[in-house]
Amino acid sequence: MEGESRGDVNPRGDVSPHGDVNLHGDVSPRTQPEPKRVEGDGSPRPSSLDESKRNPQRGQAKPFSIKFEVDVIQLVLTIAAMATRFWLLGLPRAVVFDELHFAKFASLYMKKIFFFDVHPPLGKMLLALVCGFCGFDGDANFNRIGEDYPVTFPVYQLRMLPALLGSLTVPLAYQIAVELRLSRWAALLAGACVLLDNALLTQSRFMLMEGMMVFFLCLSIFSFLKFRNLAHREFSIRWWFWLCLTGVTCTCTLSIKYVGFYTALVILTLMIQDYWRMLADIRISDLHLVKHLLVRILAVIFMPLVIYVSLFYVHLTTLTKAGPHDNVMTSGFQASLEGGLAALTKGQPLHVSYGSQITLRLTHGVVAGKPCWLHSHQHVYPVRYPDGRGSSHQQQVTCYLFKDVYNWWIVKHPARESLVVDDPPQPVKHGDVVQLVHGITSRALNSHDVAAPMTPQNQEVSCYIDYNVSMPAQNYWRVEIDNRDNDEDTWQTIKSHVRFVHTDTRQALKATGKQLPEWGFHQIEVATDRVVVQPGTVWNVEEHRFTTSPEKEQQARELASTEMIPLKPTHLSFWTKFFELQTKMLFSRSDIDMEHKYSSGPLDWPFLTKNTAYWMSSTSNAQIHLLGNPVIWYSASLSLFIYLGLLLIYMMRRRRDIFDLTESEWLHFVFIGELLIGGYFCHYLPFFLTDRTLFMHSYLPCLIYKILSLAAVVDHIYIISHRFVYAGTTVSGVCLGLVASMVWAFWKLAVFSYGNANLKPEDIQSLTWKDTWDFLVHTNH
Amino acid sequence: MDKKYFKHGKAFKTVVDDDNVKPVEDLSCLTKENVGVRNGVEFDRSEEVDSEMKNELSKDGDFKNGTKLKEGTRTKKFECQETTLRNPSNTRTYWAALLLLTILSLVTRLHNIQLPKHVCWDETHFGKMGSWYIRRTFFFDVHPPLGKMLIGLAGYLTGYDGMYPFEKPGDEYGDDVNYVGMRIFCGLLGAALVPLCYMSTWLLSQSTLAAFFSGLLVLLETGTLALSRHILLDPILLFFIMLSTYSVLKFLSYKDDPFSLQWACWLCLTGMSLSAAIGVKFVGLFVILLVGVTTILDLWRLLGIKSNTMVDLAKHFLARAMCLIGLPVVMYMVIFFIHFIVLNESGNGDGFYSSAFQSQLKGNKLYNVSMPASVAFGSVVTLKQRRTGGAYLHSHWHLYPEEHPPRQQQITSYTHKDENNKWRVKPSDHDVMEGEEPQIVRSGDLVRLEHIGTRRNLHSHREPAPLTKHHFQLSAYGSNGTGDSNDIWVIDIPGSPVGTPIRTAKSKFRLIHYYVRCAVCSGDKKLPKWGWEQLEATCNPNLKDTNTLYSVEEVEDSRMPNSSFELYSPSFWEKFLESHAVMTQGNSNLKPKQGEISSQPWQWPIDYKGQIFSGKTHRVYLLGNPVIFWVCLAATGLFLVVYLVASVRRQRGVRYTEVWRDYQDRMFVACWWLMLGWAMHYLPFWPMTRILYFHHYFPALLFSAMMTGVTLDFLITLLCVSVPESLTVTIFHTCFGLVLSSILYSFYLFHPMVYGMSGPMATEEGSQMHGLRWLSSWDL
Repeated sequence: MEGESRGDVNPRGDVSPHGDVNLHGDVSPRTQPEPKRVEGDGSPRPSSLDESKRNPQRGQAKPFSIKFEVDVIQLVLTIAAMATRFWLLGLPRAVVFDELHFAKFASLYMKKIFFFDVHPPLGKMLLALVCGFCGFDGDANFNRIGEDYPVTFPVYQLRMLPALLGSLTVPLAYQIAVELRLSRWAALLAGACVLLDNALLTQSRFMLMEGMMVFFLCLSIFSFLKFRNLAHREFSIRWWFWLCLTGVTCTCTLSIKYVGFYTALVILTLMIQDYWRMLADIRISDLHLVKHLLVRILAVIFMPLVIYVSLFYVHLTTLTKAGPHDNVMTSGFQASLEGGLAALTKGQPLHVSYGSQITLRLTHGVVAGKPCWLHSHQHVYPVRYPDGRGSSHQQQVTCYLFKDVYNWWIVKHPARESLVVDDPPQPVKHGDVVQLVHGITSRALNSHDVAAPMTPQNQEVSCYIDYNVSMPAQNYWRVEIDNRDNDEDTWQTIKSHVRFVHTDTRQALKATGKQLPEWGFHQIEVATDRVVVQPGTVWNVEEHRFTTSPEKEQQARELASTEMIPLKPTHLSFWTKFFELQTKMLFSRSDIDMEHKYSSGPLDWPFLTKNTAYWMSSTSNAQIHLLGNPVIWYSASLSLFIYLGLLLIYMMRRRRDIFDLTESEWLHFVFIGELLIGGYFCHYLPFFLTDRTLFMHSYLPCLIYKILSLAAVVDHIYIISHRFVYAGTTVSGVCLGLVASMVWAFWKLAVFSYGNANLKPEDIQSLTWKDTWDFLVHTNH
Repeated sequence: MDKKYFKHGKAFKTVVDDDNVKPVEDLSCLTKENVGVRNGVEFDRSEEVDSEMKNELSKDGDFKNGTKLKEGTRTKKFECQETTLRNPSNTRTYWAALLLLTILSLVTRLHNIQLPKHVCWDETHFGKMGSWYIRRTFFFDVHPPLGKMLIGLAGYLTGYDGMYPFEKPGDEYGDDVNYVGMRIFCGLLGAALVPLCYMSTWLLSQSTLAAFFSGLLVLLETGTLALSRHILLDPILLFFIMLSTYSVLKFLSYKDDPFSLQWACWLCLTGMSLSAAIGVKFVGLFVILLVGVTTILDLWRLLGIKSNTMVDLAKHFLARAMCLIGLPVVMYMVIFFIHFIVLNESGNGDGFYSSAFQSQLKGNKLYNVSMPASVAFGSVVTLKQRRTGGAYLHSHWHLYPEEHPPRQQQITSYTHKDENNKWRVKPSDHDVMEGEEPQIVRSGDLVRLEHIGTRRNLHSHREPAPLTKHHFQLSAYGSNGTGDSNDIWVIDIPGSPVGTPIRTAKSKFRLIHYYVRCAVCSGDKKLPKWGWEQLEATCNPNLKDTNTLYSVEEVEDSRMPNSSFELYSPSFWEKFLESHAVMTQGNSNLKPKQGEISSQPWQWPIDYKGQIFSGKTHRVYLLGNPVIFWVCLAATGLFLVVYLVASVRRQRGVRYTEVWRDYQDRMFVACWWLMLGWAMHYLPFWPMTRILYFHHYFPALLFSAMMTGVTLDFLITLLCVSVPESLTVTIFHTCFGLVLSSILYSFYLFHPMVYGMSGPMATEEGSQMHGLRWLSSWDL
């Protein structure tokens, strides 16, 4: 095998990760059972470009010689990619589209302020790393798209990272095609498509995640292919390297955006398939197979998990200060951050006791992730609701979105009148029955068989007023601690997640999430619900104080007594924080149905029906849009159909015992489909099931797969076309035409990637190639 | 049981047969073989093996002796090797078991079916709709009509007059209400499930034991039983799903005898039961998918048989296309045809349909009306949005509030008919003179629309709309019909040339603002109180939005000749499409209401929670028999493990005897097929946003129960051949007895849930069901 000999002979020849590239067009299949592939079996590969370099390599196999190999195609592609990505990189010096978020997140990293985002942290961390190198202090003051960056903001440097990774995607696409054993020309086509696609260009020129994600995605495919092609040299250093790199890059991809998971899934499936085929080889001993299995589990499951968790470890240990998104998290999480809630709750008593004054926060926020606190005020429920139902006409109890003096409650022992803390304080335990007395109005929390105002199937909660009518007080609540270790646990500030179960009706106190109308000041409705175990019924004490000097009994209380007061600020273990953050990230959904002018759906993507506006100059018609190169998008989409059509034809003909391809060609053809077409659909189809607002940049991973499959299909057609007279020439001609029109379309639409030209309205009109594209024109109204 | 049989069974276990191992140089050969198996080409393989088997059987004297055994159902599967598939009658056990299950099924389903003597749960809907068929009143439901038609028919035949109102669950049936006939009809279809499951499983596994287990599981499954005993669509749906399953399997069993009469009959029956299944509920679509996949695999098998010429293949393909696509489509349409013929009187479903549709219903206001066929300048019109549930363009004497400036008069979309929906169409530049010749309004014309009630013109400007901020505000402006240049609208009929006249109720057009270039539009957003909770109407800059299409519903113009609305009566095809659009919309609007607890798919297989059917003294609770549910779940898991182990062993070159391999392959194919059926009836519910109920799981459960039967059979056989010979008979009897008794006992424990519980709730001491509340989520 060629790879082996070169490895022995040329120990220091690897000048770059891509340096040991096989320069020959005719890569021999290595894993296939029939290792011989006859060259010139109707498919003479167009490798004239490399022909000149073939001889030196084989001839000068001397020890200690240093050879320097350069793949000209790759070099040209890389340079061209750098040129297109870096040109005018610092312009516009204004916030472009989602840079609004990502630039801000990067600066929050610099200031160590905690923030919440539904995407995992790697992409933002990398940006922050760049910030760190530039010595940027994190002062980012901008609030909307189009606003100018502050002068200190390292715009150019920050954009350099995505631009660099975006540029490297181009040679990587070329290398993937090479590893897929496509001809050099087909590989060049793949590289050129990535180079010339305006959408990929735009996305990698700004501080956006997709450009970086696509790079890691390509790298993971590349290393997987490298690993797969080294199957004959198992457990060699290179084999280990590419195997581990596969695991690492898969993790990186999904740590930038969770959609990267689908690529990991495809790669994992293909690995399982390879392993399955290995099982059939009974010359391999069982022990050896187990070894292979363990190694794979280690590299692609265990190691990625460790990396993923450690990313979050870094994330959580870096971001230690309270910030704007604290509210999304539970009180415990907030209290573990410096400043914010921690400052407020530091030094407050730990155990809630009879007589404690507390505020109760709904642990898992209800309204668009906002927190709310149990609240009451003098106003009463209206006697009749518009739909004719009556109420108890007692004092309203609500959940209020802001901190307020009316949020304070006193825990009272049902059998005693005292509202002050005993000495020593008597802590409340799991299962104890308490009354909750509203601090300012001194009325007790009560529930009874009256329909709640907004959700009539639930029971109303009120603060009891004795009207001397048939409605006796029902104000006993059993405290159930959700996260207790044993049944003897006491109720702790911040930490304990508590449910209040109404003793008479066995229903739990719940914030229903619905806003009350005007009479309830648009606060959130509170009721009791028969279903006790649900997220809406979990509360926790946020602020807590002991009654220091009750008016009646003028005795000051010795509060600083020993273990009652936490000396250290609340400390949550990493795992608690990690799992809370994970749950919030994976399951938080924005309740607000955001309608956006430039949002689009999965059906708009394959044929580039829509564009997304990223930025518009405030003074001229210069503008930046996310808009693909239509020639590439159309031809690549077409290639998917061609592939599927060919596959069906081949399969049916094979079923009839007509073999158009040799066995190895057929396996290769199927493998390409599994990787590329499979990858495409794995990334594409799930979007039909999401009900979030989607934008076109979600399609970019699919685009990469689509471009690679275009190259593969062109390569395949070129090979089979040699069976027909003139067909080969026709295919070459068509390809040339295709590339020429790609370049032309790229050139025409490049203004929307660079945003460097003040377009006249008629220019914009002439560039609106599809009616559905929507560009902006400044009007002088 | 004869020892010899198991002696042979021992031989099943032959492990690596060194002589038999293929040379492995040719890896691709091995993998190819495997791919074949996994791709579901098993049909093909088992056929080959069948013939091999026969040869072997004739050679192997021992085994022949084994087949003569009478005792135990298990030997049947080997006997059946010799019999042809379509002739199970020579096995007495088969018929005995079938008879037993059928009788028990009838007894359990029909026992005390008149109880409870009040409306249970959804009987309130389906009983009511059945009555409406008898009374011929038009109604709207989200499900296709066949199920309710059959209920109506059953009621009609058993002397029910259709007059009982079925108002709400819990209403007592009077003595004069013949509701029992409808219940018996549903009960009979429900009872048919057991034999159908039994026979289907036999066809797949050719094992009477497996079939018996499947039948038993369905028979004693309390959830299925409860569903079968009430006037619901589910027993009908389940029946047609199982009938499709059975007939497609029966059809496949004639694969050696294509184009015979039976072959054709079963094929047609498959098609017909498929259309019946989807005619009851759209869930029937899943069984269509299952049959579709099966048919494709079958065609794939035929494609692989080289003796079939292309003409043969084309014939096979066409026969299937005709019977499984053509026939069901026609039958489905016939169902709707009957539906429209029968329901010809106005009822509470009218409002969901377009005016043209309503004009067909006796008693509707639009029935036999007449009005001008086109619109002239000066006519008074109402404008209705062209989508199902579209509302009228409306205005009234109220202004937009401060927070949504400018404070001009509101324009809204209003769903009800009202005087304030009326607009006068005027030319843009002058008023219509009295006595002038009426001039027809055409597309491309510039018009002003004057609101009749307030005499202000429809107006728009570049101000954000109140709710949809990227649309523009619509308002009414001016006084006594004079306004400004922002009142000018262009009429555009998409797809028609300029100059096409607007036809009443027929033409779809857009009203496009002449200056702003936006079109009158209405979505689903409700205005707050200041807008009287009517729908928001806006001016949409995206002219291609389908929500911008309007049509003229009513025209008043004394100058124009009236023509009868009959002209616009929709064809059957239009009615068919419209009712589907309405049903689709109805289905997607079935979102869980706030506070309503929607059941979630993950809860179903674990029997997490049931549904209360009747909450009075005679309480009925729809809850699956927990033992059966959990056995099904365990069987699925065990099967996957067993399958994985077996495949790894095969991949590693472990060889079995032909007999065992054949048996194992057949069981695995059966399990996979049933698992596919289960997955197709279960997984699609996961991404659904519609409100879901526990009873949606029962079609999937039937497949799961059948699979469990097959798996249990396989596991018991595996156990029997794995233990020493002396123990096999004991083990077999123990296992069989254990399964049988535990299922029977669980049914004994939980049967009161179906036949009616009384007394205190299960949480209290002394209740009938005390101690049976195994999960705290059950409301027994």
